[in-house]
Amino acid sequence: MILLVGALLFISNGIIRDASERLADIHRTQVKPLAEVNELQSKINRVRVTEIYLPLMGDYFALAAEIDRLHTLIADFDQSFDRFKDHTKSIYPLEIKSINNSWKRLRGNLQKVAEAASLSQLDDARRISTYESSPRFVSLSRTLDGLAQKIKIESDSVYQQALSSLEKKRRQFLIISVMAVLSGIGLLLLFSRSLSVRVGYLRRAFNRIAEGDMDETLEIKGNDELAELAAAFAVMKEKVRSREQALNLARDELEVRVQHRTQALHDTNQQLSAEVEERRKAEQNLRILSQAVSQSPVSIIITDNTGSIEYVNQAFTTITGYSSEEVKGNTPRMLSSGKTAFATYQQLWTTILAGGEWEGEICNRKKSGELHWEYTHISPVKDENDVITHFLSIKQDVTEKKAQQEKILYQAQYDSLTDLPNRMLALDRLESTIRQSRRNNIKAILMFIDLDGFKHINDSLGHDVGDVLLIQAARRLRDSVRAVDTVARHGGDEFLVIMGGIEDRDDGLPVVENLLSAFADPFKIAGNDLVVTASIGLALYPDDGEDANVMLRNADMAMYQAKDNGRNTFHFYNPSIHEHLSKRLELEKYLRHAISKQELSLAYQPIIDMDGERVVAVEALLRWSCGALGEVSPVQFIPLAEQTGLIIEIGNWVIENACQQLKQWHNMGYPHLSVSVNISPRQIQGEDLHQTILQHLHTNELAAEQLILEMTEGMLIRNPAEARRILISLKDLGVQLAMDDFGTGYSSLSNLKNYPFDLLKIDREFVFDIEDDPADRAMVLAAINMGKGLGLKTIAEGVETQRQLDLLRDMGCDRVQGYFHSKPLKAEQLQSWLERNSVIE
Amino acid sequence: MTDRFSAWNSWLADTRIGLLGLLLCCCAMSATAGFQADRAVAAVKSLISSGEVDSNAVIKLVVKQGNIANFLGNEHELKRVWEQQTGILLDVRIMPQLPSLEYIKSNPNVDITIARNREYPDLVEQQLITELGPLANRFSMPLADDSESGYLLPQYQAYLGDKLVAIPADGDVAVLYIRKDKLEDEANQALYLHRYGEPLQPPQSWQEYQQQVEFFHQPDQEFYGSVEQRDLASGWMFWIPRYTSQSFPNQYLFDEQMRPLIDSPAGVAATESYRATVAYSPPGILKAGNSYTYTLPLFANGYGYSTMITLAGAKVFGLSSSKIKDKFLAVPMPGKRINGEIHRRTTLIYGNNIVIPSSSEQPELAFLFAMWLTDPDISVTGLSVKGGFADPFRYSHFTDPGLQQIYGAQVLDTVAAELDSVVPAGTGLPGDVEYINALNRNLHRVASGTLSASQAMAETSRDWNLITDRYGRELQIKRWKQILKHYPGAVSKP
Repeated sequence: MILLVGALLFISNGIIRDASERLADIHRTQVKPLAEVNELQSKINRVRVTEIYLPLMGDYFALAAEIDRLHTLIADFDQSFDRFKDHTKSIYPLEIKSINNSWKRLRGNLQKVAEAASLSQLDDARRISTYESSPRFVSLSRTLDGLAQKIKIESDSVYQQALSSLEKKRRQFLIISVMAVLSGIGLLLLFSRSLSVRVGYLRRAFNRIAEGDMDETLEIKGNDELAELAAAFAVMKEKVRSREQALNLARDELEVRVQHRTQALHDTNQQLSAEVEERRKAEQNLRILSQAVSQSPVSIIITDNTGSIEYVNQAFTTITGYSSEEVKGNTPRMLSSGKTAFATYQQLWTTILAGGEWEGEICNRKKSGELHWEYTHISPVKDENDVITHFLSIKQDVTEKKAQQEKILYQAQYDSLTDLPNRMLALDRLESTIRQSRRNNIKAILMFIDLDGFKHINDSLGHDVGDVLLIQAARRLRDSVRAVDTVARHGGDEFLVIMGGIEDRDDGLPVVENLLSAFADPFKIAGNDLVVTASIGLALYPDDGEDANVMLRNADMAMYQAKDNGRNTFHFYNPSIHEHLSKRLELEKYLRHAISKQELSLAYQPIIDMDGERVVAVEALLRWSCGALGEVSPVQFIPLAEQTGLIIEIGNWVIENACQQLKQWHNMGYPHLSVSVNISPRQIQGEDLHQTILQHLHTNELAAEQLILEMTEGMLIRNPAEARRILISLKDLGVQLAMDDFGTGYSSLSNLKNYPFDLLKIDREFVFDIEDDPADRAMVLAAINMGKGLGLKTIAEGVETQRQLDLLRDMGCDRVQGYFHSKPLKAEQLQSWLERNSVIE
Repeated sequence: MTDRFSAWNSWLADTRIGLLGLLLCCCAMSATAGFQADRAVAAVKSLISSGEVDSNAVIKLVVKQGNIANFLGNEHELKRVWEQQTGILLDVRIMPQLPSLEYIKSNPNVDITIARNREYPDLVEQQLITELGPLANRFSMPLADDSESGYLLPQYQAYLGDKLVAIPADGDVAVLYIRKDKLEDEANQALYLHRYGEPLQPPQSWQEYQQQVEFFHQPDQEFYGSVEQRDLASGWMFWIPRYTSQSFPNQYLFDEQMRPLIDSPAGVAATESYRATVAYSPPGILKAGNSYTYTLPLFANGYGYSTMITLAGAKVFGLSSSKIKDKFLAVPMPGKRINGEIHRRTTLIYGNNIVIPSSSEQPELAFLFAMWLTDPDISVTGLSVKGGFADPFRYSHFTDPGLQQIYGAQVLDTVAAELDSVVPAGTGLPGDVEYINALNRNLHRVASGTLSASQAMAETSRDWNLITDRYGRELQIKRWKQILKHYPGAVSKP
């Protein structure tokens, strides 16, 4: 008996100790690391979201706070990661090393992003975030995901092992307990039966002796008290006188013995109670295990093998809002949101009914109707015959994580300002459209759109207005295309439109017309009416390229051709554009270094006043002698300089050199000579022109009126109100303003009178035929009369003959310029020319 | 024209009514912190239980990127609290950097948004915002103006004449920030005394300020004497304190017949003072769009001696990532020495206060949310977040220990002392956008060197006369006379 009780105590103690150790081990190696990995994933996502947001902060107050927040989040992640390392470096050394390396590199990038943002260098911050941090974040995030997955798989295995071991111990305990109880009962029965037989024999003998049967013999074998009693009784029989006394003594002694035996039985009962108590404690420990499941932070469902729910834990009711009673007897289908693919469920059931384990993400609906995503792991529970009796489902709420992933994905693919697909997504869609067109043997069109005049608005009215303009322009573009077309922002003021399902290139023209007319009305922003048009380049698949990048390049080139054609128009790509642009790029490459290599020079052509035929001014004309290309015509390189913006630097160089040269001539005895320089529209709209003019006039001690700025009509036509404002501000400096090439554009009298010009230059085209063509003669006369009417002096360009000179004098022209007097000359040649012609001022 | 005048006349009618309203507000003086918020929540619940408001109603809120954190709290804490307490959800969007007038005009689907003080006249003139007086009366929630926890400067922040048109949420009084470490450096003090014959201490007058700007300017070391804004859009903010301090009690913008006074010697002097810092500023200071987003990073990263901005400046300069943390001082705006005393003036330069668009479908809920948000306790939570340019706007904010920790007690004390010197923002008139645009344009030309100060003031004066004629001179004269009453009348001490 004692051995049995001891065995029971030993086994139950073993069960409890084993369960406790396994619980502690699971907590140390599985639960805690998993929770900490989840914490790290959540924190790194917060870091990344904050980093991505930084360059979007246009307001410095919000930006400064976000920078501070980023520093805090980095420190927070550092702390959590250090703790995690301490706990788990012996368990997952490789993963810890990988996370450590990724985090160090990412942290370096984050510091750079914060530093750039603190100086408001948001483009730098965006660049680092996009091209440096992004891959490192992805690497770190994937390592964490992998580690979480690994821990989860291991935890399932350990859990199953723990369950199996506990089950085995429980069965052993039950068998031994039953054996102990049965053995105790058997021994008790044997003992009492032996005692009662012998006492009965004695009782019957005593009865007979009491009835006077003194012949009765008492034969009890053994050497216990009963045998002695029988012997004594025999003596009593022999000693009749003392029989009564002896009998009494024997009875008393018998009673004592019975009491002893009864006490022994009582002790046995006590031992059995203790064993029952031990068993109760073992069951209590099993209950603790059950509570661990019940109170687990992850949601747990146990169903029977038909899917009917038998058990849900507290986490399940907290997350879904359903009580245990509401779901018991139902199937998990009651949670279905309809958002998870049918194929997913099909795969799930096929797997688990075949005895396998399934895991994946399912979108379920809470009692409140709210949708939530759960990472679900389902495993079958089998009995000793390997028959599936139940299914165990463990679910982790990953709604927030999925939302963060979707948000990051959206930010990576969409432009935050206009909400349009960004360049990356646009190229993706273009490739998809090309693949589809290839399969269906149809065509597709890519449009490359650039906003004309946007840069000027952005520079002069500020980025805020520029941003609003881009938002409104994006809206107009979106409203102008078909529902199936993609409109995307390529960057800056450039947009893309992708049209699939095209039969012929002309199919794109209605959309092109819509797009162009969408920009007809001015944009009303911050009290301004802003006129912005679009230049559109089109490339057709497969004619103009079978690859997205080639299509993009060719549409871009076609857009430049549209710009060259006067803007606010469109142009289809053709191969000659490529050749033209290649040449242009080569020319641009050399032009960028023309000033530093001192390849530019100025030629000067005299301007003669009709009154006394004296030189009153010279026009400075730009020349380029390129080391690689030789002499390059201004007709070639000046439009290029204008388009690339180099004209501002070159134009400033012209003003500087022309002013220096004029000062030299003044010092040589021509103090009343003026110099005329050509100013491009882009130069006028730049911010530095005023300052440049003031500086060079001041440096060379020139009177402002001795500098004449020539500009063409193009600038006035594009934005009359803006042009008027700029010309008035230039006039405020005191310089003279001349309208160049008059007659070749669209200027009208009404236009001219609104601007503060001093001089009107009649284009050489009209002067050329003035002797033979009455129409040209009439045109020149009209221009001269108009100029006089407005108080302007007129200058005829391209005068080559005496006859032309005479006619112009008769018409009342004030000044002339042309080969008749002199071709454009180098500065030193002009000085000789001045001396030879003795027209010293 | 007559209708417009009638409407305006009613707004600016007898200010005695306004004073009576203010007196009634004193009843709320004893309102303990949290009381206002509790009242607002109770009123919302009452509206829902009476069926007047649908319990599923949503308030559509639009604020700027720079102050969204002040409205929603840290990690949207305030939004959660409001929604839990009332059940009314907030739908929050960000307003682009546009004048409120433009935004409200083109976005009718908004219940509550923000506007600057100087935008009120045009918003009211064009009937774009709701008058809040009837709502305040209906819910018995007058605007508190007591000196313990009341709203600051309600005559500028909340009222147009006697009409309540906005709930204050941002007290943007401009102050001067200078580098304390540079000022207290012994070598600098010795050199300054040697060069100018006077001790180096916080500047009192505009002349002393300019002198220090020149003294500290070291462009070869990328350290600039001044990083005051000089872009096209913000000129008036830094010109008004210079101009209005030129005469006692105030150098006014117009005389009583609405004839501009800015082309006077006082206007030229203020403009010269405005121009004088440009030579001691960083190279991009004149560039369009270079507002405080350009100047504040320079100052916070240690590239300048002085700048001018609101209290929110102290908040970002004091962040742990700032390179001048604990190295700056906020001091009162300099002034002009008149009869031996310094005469200072400043103004509310930004001020993003709460307005309810006329098109709001939930004006009652919007008003109650505004009152809840600006409660003494709740507003401290809003102002305490790290992000956000909203500044203390109630008297209790100046003594709150948490806000003293964030802004610095020295900075809060400086602003509290400046309150008596605050003049109205802009002109305070309908057409303010046009008046101020003309002023800004010509100030920028002066700063760029293309126009002299006297030419600029003459041109602005001509422009202002044209604008006044367009809005109706007689009408504007009446309005101006009402505005004149709000100008401060005292001389502040050095």
